[in-house]
Amino acid sequence: MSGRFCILLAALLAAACAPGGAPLSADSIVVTRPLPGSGTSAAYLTLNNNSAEDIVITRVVSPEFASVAMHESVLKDGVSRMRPLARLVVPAHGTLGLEPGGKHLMLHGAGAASSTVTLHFFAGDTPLLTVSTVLED
Amino acid sequence: MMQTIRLFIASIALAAVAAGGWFAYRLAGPPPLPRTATVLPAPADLPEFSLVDGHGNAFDRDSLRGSWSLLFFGFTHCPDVCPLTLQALASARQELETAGIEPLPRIVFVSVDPERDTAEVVRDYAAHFGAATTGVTGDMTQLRQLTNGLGIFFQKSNRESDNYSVDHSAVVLLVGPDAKFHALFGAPHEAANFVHDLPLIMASR
Repeated sequence: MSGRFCILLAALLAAACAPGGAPLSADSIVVTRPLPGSGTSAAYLTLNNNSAEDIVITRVVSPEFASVAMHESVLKDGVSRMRPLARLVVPAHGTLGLEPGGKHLMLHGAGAASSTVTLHFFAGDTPLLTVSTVLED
Repeated sequence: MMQTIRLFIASIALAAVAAGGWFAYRLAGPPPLPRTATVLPAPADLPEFSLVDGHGNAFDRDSLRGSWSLLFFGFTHCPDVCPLTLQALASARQELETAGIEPLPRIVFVSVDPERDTAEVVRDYAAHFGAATTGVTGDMTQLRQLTNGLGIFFQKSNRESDNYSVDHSAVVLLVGPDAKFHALFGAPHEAANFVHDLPLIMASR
């Protein structure tokens, strides 16, 4: 990893996690390494809304993956169901947890092997937040 | 007179033994019971089925004979619940091995998405969770034969999309070396529950 890339990654992480800065920040970011066979990954994180208005996320993209879908796993009557979500709402001055077994991001179609992943969160075409992290096993 | 004394001493001894047993029971408590597993009163037969493992070898009811197996039904494009469950099973097995528990169960992942999950895909996917995990897939009719006989539900959702999902039972089944269904674990799954319950169930059968 080049020194310039490390600095960029550190800057992105700092921007993503800085309290009181941008309206939206994130912490506890975990993105799993793509599973062999299907090449899918899951992303879990806590989104923090530092503003007085609800923040609505309508799409997430990643340069390392062909698609990122907002999903929710629901366990009902012993059956696990995964449902796409059109939006994620982070309440004003509140948090939204994307957690194992609940709301999460599904990343599919990993490109060239990479040890890091970047996620861009949008409201429509408006960028809200960018985070980067190292893939975890 | 001597006979009366002997009888008296014998009665005292008997009472002491009974009291000792009662105190031991109170101190040790009743035998531990499974915490989360539902154990069938009598093992149930599995239906006949014919699937394939990740290497393309036949995988049928007889393939389950000879060792304890934990069966989980899922699909490889499931990024959340399926890998979490398989990881919990692999972790539990590792803990049991570290604790010196025998026999150790193997883990069998049965794909409910044979359309995308070829033998090669389930082989690579299962290997991610360790050498004790076997991936199984195959013909939909044969898969239904197995799942219907075990009460396992699965159904495609948002099927208009190429990136469809599959709703599926999240239960983990315990199959014995007799290739019979002995117990089931309801979701959500935690490794600690398997570590606690499996030795109790396996020892009781």
